[in-house]
Amino acid sequence: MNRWMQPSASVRVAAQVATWAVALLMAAPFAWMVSTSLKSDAEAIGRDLNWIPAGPASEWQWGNYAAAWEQADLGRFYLNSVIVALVVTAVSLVHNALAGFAFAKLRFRGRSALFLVLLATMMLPFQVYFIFAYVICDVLGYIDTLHALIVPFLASAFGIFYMRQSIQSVPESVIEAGRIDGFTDFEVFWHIVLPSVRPALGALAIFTFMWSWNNFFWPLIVIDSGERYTLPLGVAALASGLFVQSWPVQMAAATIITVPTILVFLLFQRWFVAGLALTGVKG
Amino acid sequence: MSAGNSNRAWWFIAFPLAIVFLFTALPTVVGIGLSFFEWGAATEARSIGFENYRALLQDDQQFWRALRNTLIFAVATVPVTLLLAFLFASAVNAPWFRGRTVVRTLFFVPTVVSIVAVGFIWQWILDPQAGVLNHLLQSIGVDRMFGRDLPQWTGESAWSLAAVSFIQVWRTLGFSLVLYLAALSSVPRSLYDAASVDGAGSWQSLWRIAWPSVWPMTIFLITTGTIAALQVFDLVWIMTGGAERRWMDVLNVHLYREFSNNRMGYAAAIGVIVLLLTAIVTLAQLRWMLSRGEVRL
Amino acid sequence: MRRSHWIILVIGIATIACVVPPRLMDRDDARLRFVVWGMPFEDRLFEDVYAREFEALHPGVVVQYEKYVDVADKYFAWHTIGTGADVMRVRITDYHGLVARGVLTPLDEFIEHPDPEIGLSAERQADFLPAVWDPLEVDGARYALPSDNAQYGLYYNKAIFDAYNAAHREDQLEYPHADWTWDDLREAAEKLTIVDERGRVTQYGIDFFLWAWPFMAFFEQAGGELWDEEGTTTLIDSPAGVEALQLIVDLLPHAVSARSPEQVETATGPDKLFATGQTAMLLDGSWRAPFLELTNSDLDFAIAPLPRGKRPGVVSGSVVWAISAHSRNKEMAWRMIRWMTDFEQALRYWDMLRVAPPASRRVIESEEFRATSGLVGDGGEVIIPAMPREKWKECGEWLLYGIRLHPMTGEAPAFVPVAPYQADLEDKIGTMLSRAVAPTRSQSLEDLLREAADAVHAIIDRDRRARGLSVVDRE
Repeated sequence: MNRWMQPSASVRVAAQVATWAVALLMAAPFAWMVSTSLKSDAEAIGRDLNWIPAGPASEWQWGNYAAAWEQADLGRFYLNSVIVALVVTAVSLVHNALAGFAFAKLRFRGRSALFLVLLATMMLPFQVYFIFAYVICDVLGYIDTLHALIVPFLASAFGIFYMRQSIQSVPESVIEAGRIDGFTDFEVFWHIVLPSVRPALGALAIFTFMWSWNNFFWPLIVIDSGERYTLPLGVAALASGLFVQSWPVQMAAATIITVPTILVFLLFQRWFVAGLALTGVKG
Repeated sequence: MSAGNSNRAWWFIAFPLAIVFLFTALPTVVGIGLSFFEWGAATEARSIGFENYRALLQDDQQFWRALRNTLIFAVATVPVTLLLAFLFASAVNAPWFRGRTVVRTLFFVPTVVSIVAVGFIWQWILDPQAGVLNHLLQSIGVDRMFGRDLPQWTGESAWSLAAVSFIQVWRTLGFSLVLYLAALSSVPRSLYDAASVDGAGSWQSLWRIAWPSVWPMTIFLITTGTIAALQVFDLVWIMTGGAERRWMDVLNVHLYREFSNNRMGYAAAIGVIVLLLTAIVTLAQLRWMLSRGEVRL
Repeated sequence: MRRSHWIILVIGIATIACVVPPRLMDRDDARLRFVVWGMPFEDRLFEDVYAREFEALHPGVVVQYEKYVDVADKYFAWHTIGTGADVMRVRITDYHGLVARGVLTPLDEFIEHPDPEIGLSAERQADFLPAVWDPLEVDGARYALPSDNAQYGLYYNKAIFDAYNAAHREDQLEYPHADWTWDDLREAAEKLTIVDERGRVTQYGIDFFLWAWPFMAFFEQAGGELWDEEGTTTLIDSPAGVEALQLIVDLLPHAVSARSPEQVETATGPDKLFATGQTAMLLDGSWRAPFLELTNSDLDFAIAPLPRGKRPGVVSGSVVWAISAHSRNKEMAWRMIRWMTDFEQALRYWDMLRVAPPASRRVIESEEFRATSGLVGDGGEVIIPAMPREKWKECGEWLLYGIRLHPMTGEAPAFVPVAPYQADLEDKIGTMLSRAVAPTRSQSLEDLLREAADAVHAIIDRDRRARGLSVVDRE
């Protein structure tokens, strides 16, 4: 019997238990977040360690959610986040794919050099360029509008790189066949290449959406007025500007912004994971 | 493929490249140039040569602390995350493992969640007064180990760096795990079979077969992990509110603080240093990848 | 083939739609940008009252109300790109920095204006509290009008004192009052601290946030001077500094609760602990009172002036109104800040928000000052509790101590620390305090003070070098 397949029972059990324990540890803080959000102030600060808030479910502090929603105007922030994330994802997907296709399958002068430069920009730390990116956005009149959250992300070095790596694996023969049939480059791209890299597209779409949804610092810099806050900004504002601070209410706000992210992830996890695998293996 | 593609190709890449260059590459170049100037609100930009760098390296004690903290942070988080991810991925990958999808999902959840939420949640857990962690430690009597008072996990103590490192590992373990899973699943069964014929036990198979097979992934993770650690900002910022801490300041927080105080040229200089560190790590990986033929240009 | 052209067209249009910049708002000449920071309910005063009523008084003027958390950063950033707010709410700690960088408009031509509707009479100028009015003068010019003067005080939990006195017949503690000294404070703090058998503190004798204010108050009371005459060398590393720091360390042997400055408004900070009845005495600002009443209406507390050291001293702050140097509506902006600082509007500030007394002597000494209406929400919920007249003695009278001349010094104890680099100094003091009270501290207090001073000097020298000035010669 292959010993790799069947280590001794004690090893199996130990590995199983340990892994499950750590997996639960990953999720525990979130459970604690939800638990706290339903407690009262006094109960939360008190010294007892209860996962379940005191009393029957009807007496839990559901009001904390209403408070968090109202105080932070979360409805509007949700809307802003959704608009920005959707637009960025949709448009950047197209442009990243276009460029990725060009780098992968089209020959043009300076292709290697440009690609290297692109790779290099992927490694640039945000902190070295955000100052001037802000100035550019200001010159273009984007500051304090949703444009500032959208335009700089309509394409990205990572996205182009990712699509290029995925498209590279589309067999040349298929593309040649398309050309022989008289397709233009764009048609090869749209009708042949795109369908064959659907998983990668899906993964990139999800990455981009989540990334845009959770983006915190760029919005912090470019958005001034509360009306255009995205969700993370709104929740952070709840913490810093508020008079009456209450951990349960804050946890309720944290729950409100976390739960949708987790739900989306659960829905699309297969694509997510598949997409990640593509990145890694190709390096 | 016809060589006349050149012009048409430009249509494909013009807009995306313009965006990337306008908002990333160009500001970087300007930012680097900015580090040789003194520029703040209302003062004209004055060229001062290397003065910013000199002040940074000679006078700025906090900079060295931040550098030290950042490096410690990188060293503390990257290897630990990798090894743990590899071990757990190996377990999950094994055919006898029950609940693979659920475990994988659970591991990955911290990675997808917003950093703001993560910051909140952990601040709450680590709160010295009312947080769960200290309650737990007190109730099992561990607090005596620390002397009179439990450490200020988010305050002015060396433990705060440990706390932030722990949170980072917690956050990124899932990401590495999923990647390792993918890499492990493509290791051919035949390798294991051959090893077991030679009498290798499961532990040895792990280290002699699986580990070397996923070496490219390991390199990838080391690189991305180190770069992420060098550029860490969000997490530390949320936990400290940007305050100057001896043990929890990292380079990018120091930079942002200088920026907020309108010492833009100075801040840009710090940014350049982060950039240099990142470049070193990246070049190392690139060199390795090119030599192995992993990337074709 | 046609289909692909359509697709390209759609992509092109979508992209262009994203990129086209939004129409810039028309620069309405009669538009005033009114920029503040504050707690959420303060909108009710600034926006609902001040902004709207000013518009009603001046038809054609539109007041655009904007609120941010980090206004100082915004002011600097806007100034750099050539724009600015018309009416700016400014913390006095940031004031000098803004003036030094030319962000604010000098107001003297408005103050001295012959038209009585525009200029400020000598009487009105004298009405501003000297502690706030004097520091606003920089090189002979004035760049702001004071809005308020928030003082630091000693909150105390009467029930805890009563309980102690009931249990210790032979050793009575009196309630804190204006003649308390440091020794009284130390004694009460020690006696009122309760530690259980496991060594955990269940009742704090005294507590306060760890930021520059308590240090500056004690430092002043020990006879110290924060800055030298030029304002480029800090003198905190002096015997007075050691005394002040020592007092803080003595008062906070169980420093877990005392929070670092950045986490000033937390959910388990000294204010919350005091509100839930776990602390006997709390050093905090006048703005805390409504919060305490809201959090725990059963809390039986009162406020006394700060005790004195060698001399009396009440650290206080101020918020001022200023006008951006790049404002295009300076005169209208001036009219607004002039209006907001007159007797009626200043009184409303106190009457509604009760966070800090206005910087007007007339208002503070008036009868109307002794009771406030507070703020009630639309649904009838109390946003800011009212202060009925009966509570004046316990919760309001202490404010007079700071502004009246003290027999010992002949001056009013309240002071507002200002200097060109005050914000940096306060920042370093905050860090120093965290280190001073840490149980694992290995450095001496003198060393910590010197380190903080050196750090501030490094910043000052760096700034001076960058502006082409010489480095300061310090001994």
